[in-house]
Amino acid sequence: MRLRSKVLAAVGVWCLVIVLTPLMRDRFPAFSAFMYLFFSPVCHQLPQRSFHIAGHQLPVCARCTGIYLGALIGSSVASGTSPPRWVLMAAVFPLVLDGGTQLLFRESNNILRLATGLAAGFVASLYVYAGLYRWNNTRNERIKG
Amino acid sequence: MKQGKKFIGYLLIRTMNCYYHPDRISVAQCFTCGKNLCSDCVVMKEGRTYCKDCLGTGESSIEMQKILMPALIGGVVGGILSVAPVISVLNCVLCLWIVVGGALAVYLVKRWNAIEGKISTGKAALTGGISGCVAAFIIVVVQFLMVGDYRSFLDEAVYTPELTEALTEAGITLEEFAGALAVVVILVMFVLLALFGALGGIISNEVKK
Repeated sequence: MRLRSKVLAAVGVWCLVIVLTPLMRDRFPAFSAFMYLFFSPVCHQLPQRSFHIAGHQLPVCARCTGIYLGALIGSSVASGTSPPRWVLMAAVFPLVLDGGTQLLFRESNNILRLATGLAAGFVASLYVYAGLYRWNNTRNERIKG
Repeated sequence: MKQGKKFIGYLLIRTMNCYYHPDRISVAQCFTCGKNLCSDCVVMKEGRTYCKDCLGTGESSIEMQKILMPALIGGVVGGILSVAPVISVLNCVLCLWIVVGGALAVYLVKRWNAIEGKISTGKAALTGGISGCVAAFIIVVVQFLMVGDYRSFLDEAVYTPELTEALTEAGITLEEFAGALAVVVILVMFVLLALFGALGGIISNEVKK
């Protein structure tokens, strides 16, 4: 299995679980409950800041949904090269600005949360993929050697 | 349509030809960054091919004991920021402080050992992962000290009304299973925070000027 397939499979399963949690809520409440519990340490899970599917909220907020989706898209197009530092800063800045200012004096909306999350997740995944690519190369070299 | 063909042509050139000279066919890939290189750009070192940018910045090996202190400091910083009033709210952005703690740990490893380039991805992930575990430990201890019992800990850690409803439908009551559920949350917290710390470590290792 190639590195890209492995990364896409891992991120894809992660995203799939997020979507399945509300969809399974009526049929398998124990599974859904575990998934809400599973994602609770990494997301506030506020209902008004989350998307809903089939009448139930996703186990992560709109911003986290954007980040994970961005990571999925990013992993599918990433190469072994990590972009310069300013690309990461430019991608994360809108997310921090949106998240930071809504704590102080304004209320954001789910579309904006999703969009800023998508950009940050997309770019962050390029760096992670580049690291994994190098790791994979080193490991293959060791196996060959 | 024409634009599309042009774009596909551009992509093919970018993938098949030299990264620095798009009009030349590539003959090798850089071991570190994966760029395609023509015969003028490729540099051989110890049987491996590198681009000129990566030649001096190849992976540096580092011993296990040298990553422990930076990981501890990164974890303590991440943990304290995660429980500090007001600023801890930024943890809602995908455990921002945990990712920052992992990134800080890898930065310190490089700084203290005068490493110019990158450390191995495995070591970067391990450093960030340990830092995430330390942060998780601090968060759990502080939250327990503040609230005192399982039920209140769960109320603090889990806010979702959906969860309470799903638990009720699954026949699990918070009163009966608060202890077991709190243990699950703590275990999950350690696993996920280690994961996010590792991601922070890998990103910090890959970021270049």
